[in-house]
Amino acid sequence: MIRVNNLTKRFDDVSVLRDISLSVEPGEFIALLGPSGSGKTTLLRIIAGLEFQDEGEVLVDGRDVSGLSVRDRQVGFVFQHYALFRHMTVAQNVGFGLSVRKRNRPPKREIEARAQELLRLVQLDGLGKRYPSQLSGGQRQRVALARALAIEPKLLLLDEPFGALDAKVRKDLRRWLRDLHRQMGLTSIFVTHDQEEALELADRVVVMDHGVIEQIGTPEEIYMEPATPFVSHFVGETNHLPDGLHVRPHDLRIVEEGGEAVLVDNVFRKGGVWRVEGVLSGTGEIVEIDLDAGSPAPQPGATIRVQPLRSKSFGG
Amino acid sequence: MSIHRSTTERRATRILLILVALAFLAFFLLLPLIAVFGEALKQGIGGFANAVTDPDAQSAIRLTLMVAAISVPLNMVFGVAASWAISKYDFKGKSLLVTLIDLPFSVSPVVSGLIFVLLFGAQGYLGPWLADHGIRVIFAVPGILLATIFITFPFVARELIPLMQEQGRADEEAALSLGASGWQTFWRVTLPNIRWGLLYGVLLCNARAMGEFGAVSVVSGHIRGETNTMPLHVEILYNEYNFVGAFAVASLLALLALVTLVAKSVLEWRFDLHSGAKH
Ligand SMILES: Nc1ncnc2c1ncn2[C@@H]1O[C@H](COP(=O)(O)OP(=O)(O)O)[C@@H](O)[C@H]1O
Ligand SMILES: [Mg+2]
Repeated sequence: MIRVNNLTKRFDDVSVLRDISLSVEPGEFIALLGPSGSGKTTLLRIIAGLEFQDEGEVLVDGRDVSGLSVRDRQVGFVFQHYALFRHMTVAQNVGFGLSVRKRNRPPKREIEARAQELLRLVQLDGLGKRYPSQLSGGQRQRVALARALAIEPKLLLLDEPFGALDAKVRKDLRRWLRDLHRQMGLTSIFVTHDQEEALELADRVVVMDHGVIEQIGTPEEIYMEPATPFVSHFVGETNHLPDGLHVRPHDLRIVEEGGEAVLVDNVFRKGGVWRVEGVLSGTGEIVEIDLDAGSPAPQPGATIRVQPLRSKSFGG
Repeated sequence: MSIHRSTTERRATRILLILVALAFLAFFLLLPLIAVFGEALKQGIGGFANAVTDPDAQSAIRLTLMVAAISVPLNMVFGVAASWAISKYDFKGKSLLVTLIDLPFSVSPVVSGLIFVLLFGAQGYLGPWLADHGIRVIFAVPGILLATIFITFPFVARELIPLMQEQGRADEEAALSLGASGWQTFWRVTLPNIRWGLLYGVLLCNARAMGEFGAVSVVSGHIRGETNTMPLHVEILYNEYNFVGAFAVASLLALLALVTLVAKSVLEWRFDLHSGAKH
């Protein structure tokens, strides 16, 4: 089990992490979600031992590892741009962790066999003799993963694992990573700025902003019960109604009387729903409404009245 | 019509520019090179052989090789260490270090030589102490070594700092996270990543170490058979109107320059071909 207690980190007197606490249970898949610059990478690097905190502690199975370097923490780290060793073959990259062992280094043959095995696991069998420059982005990313898994890490840390990939590959790889995590019984933390990715993959999501944790919860909790206006805004789409009411587009319905008047600007099909864009007559705020695609769509220029089915109040 | 004219005009300009460049190169590089080899061989192979096997010439060649053999490896180690520190770590005074590394490039070599005379010469700050202990630095081999090391230390570092900064720290961090020691990380990850740049820097460093005149001239004392390096020996022979001897030794230095140039071109070609690729 990993525990982070009251972590603080400054770079040149600029606070990058403030009073960060969280715990990760064995087997969990955790997402660190937040906008760029919110401190996700720094937190991940401190947990790995690549960076050191100014205050607070990192506990692994109850033991304070704050004094241990990355070398002694036995974590698998997948770097944002993979950091593959360009002068080594794919198989040598994967076998690197075993080949630098000082104690119980397996014989060469065994390291090679293990690398083959891992490459099969990440579905790259047969590519062991290639060099990283001869692989596609998605393949490199899987080599980086296999290389990290070779040392049988207690904890797998991934920094924007899908960040550099195109949309289609991203989606395939996402699902695949989730299955791999389950199948191998890993404990993993990954960083992302993509809320969809976090909600789809993670058991629990840690939402960060400006070096502070805004909320920790299951994807369900984060989406349905945002703890702060920031979370409500950052995760999923949110409309601001008067009196500090935050409402999701699909939680608004058209009513005959009461509710709020909305002047319709634009209506289009978005997947299985009608997406209605308009402005609130009262405040001029932009509003987005999702309506069942089976119902008739309102016309642009019309004024409709909407009422929240469900909402979250953050005070006026 | 006008289009046609403008393209022929452009072609004419291009040819003219290329001719000017070639003429310039021929006049300033090729001609001197031919002159050097021509003069060296004026009395045939025999004269050339006599000149380079002359005991004083032999001694100058040996001294030059020795100076290079000591200063180049030292500067290689220094260059790698400095570039490593500058590109992989943050510390106070980093920009000062970068500026200091460039110092030998911005100071006249003669002034560099004089600094060593000022420090270690008979009238220098450390002169009396050195004399008491029977150590000679100025007008002796140690002075030549010091001056050469000083003059050539930027070459390797200048080559490696931008390269290592561009490569970043992620590869090293990955190696450490996989359990490698600092030493293993250096030999198995950092060094292979910089090897071509390092070789290139070493070549340039070596060429300069063998060819340096100004700083070495100040500290050497020009003692024949003892403290004369090849460039100094060339000057002495020339001043004695021994042109064949002077040019014979000079042609060896020119040969070194040519070999360096070819090696450098080969390296650049390999760099481009495989940048980020397997070698
Ligand atoms: N080595 C560093 N030195 C100085 N500032 C840094 C360093 N690393 C990160 N920062 C700063 O810390 C903040 C958080 O960065 P980071 O953890 O990379 O955020 P994220 O991964 O969420 O985008 C940013 O403002 C960044 O500029
Ligand atoms: Mg980041």
